[in-house]
Amino acid sequence: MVRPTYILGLLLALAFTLATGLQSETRSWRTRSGEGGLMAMLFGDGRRLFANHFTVKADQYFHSGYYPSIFDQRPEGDGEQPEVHVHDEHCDHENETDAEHGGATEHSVEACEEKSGGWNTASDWIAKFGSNFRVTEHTHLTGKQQRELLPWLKISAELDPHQINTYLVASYWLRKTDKSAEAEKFIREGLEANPQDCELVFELGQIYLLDRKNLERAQRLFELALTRWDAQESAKEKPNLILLANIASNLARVEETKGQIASAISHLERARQASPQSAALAKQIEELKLKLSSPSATNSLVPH
Amino acid sequence: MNIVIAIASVVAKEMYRRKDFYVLFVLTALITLLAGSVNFFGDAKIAMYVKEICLLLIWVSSLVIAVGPAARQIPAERENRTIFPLLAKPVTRAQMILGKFVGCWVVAGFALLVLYLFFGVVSGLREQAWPVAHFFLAALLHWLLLGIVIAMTLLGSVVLSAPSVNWTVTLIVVIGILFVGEHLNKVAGRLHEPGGSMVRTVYYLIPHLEWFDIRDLLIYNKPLPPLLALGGATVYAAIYMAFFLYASWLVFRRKPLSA
Repeated sequence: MVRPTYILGLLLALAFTLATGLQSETRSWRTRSGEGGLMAMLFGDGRRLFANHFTVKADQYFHSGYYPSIFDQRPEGDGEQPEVHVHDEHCDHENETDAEHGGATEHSVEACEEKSGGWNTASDWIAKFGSNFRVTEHTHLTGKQQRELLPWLKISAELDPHQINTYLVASYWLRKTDKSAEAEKFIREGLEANPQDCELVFELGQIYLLDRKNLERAQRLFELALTRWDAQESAKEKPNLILLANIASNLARVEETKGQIASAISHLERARQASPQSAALAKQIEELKLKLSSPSATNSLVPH
Repeated sequence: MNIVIAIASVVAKEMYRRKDFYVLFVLTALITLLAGSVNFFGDAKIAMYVKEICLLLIWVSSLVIAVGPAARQIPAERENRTIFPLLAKPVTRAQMILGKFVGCWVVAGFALLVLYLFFGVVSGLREQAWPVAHFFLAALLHWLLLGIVIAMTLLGSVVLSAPSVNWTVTLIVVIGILFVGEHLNKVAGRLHEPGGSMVRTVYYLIPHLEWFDIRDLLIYNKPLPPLLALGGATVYAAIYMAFFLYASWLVFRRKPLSA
């Protein structure tokens, strides 16, 4: 009769041997199936659905839970849809400053309210009474509270690393909450998954220009972004002209600060191609041309 | 009344001996603590997602704790033939249903108390704020909802053939109401007749369990519902509990006891 301790010892030894063999196998799970690693292997393409859900969740947090469900969207052809949009610096609240955008100011909340089309209207007594038990006050997260939406964006990026907007939105909020280093790290993670993406390179350039005040590096990144834009977008039927205008005008800003007025004008002309109606760009070009014609003004722009 | 309390205490003892709650509580605590230990962007003060995950787990656990035992109460008595000595005490069928209901509901209440205490500690430590009234009212409304669910399950246990069927059907109905109950009227407005009228009728007939779910108010630190609304919800819950219990008795009083 074999003693039970021997059997236990044998099982333990077997488990240990198997573990040493399987460890190298589990390491390869991360890189197997090409992109997405373990997540892709576990969830397949379904992970993109979850990723989208978590991005929406982040927006829901930004609105403090005041958010339309799919049932609150009007049927097609019945006027404007209540808009679900993730807030970042690229969305078109044109007249907002950075402080207003995302802040719980009356203006930005009203702007959102106007965009969403007033979906939260109770039509019967059950809905009216039920509104006592859910969020009916539209506020935006402010200050340090804004960090609350970051976990969902991180999870979303883990699930779908090719959703560029997730990295851009997360970077925006990280920078707003004084986490520029984390923003850079996250954008670099995005670049690892999407090495050729010009939007991510542009965002990285902005981090260096606005947060680090590193003009040289910012310029190189904007130039790289412009090269990639030319390679990827220019041949498209509907190229991302807003991105082109942003890259070109930021490059112009860097060149102007460095005193390279002629280069700045040429970049602004490029930006104007993307946004021909922009009166502000036209005015800026005129001002720079004037400066170029008066050398004393040009010299004063050169940093000492 | 003493008979009802006696039956309820037997039910409570049986549920106390089963390990369902302990397992669910440990799972809830473990998953919440794991989620809380994840560091997103080097910020340890992010709290809302932990609250959301914890509350979701509490809701799932509470539904399992309420529906599972309630679904097997009467079928188990019939299967084991313990229903004959029980009804020969003498205990009326109405007292038996009421006793089973009270037992399940009280135990579910204790389970909720422990779960919400855990939630309160996690949330308080994370946010450094202790809105005790919020936690208490959320637990109270949740308990009222479980009362309706348990009464509904008891009705299912005398109508449906097996506890597993009852368990599945009740959970599907409850989750369905929680997800789409409040939107049925909007859906009805977009349907052609007679579909629209049918959906609208369902909308007015179903118990609106979503009223008792104030998780969003807790997560986003919003003010509590007014007292009048809380009173209204309590009366609403009491009416539905009475309705399901009365319906259970109506079916059960004429039901043959042999399985």
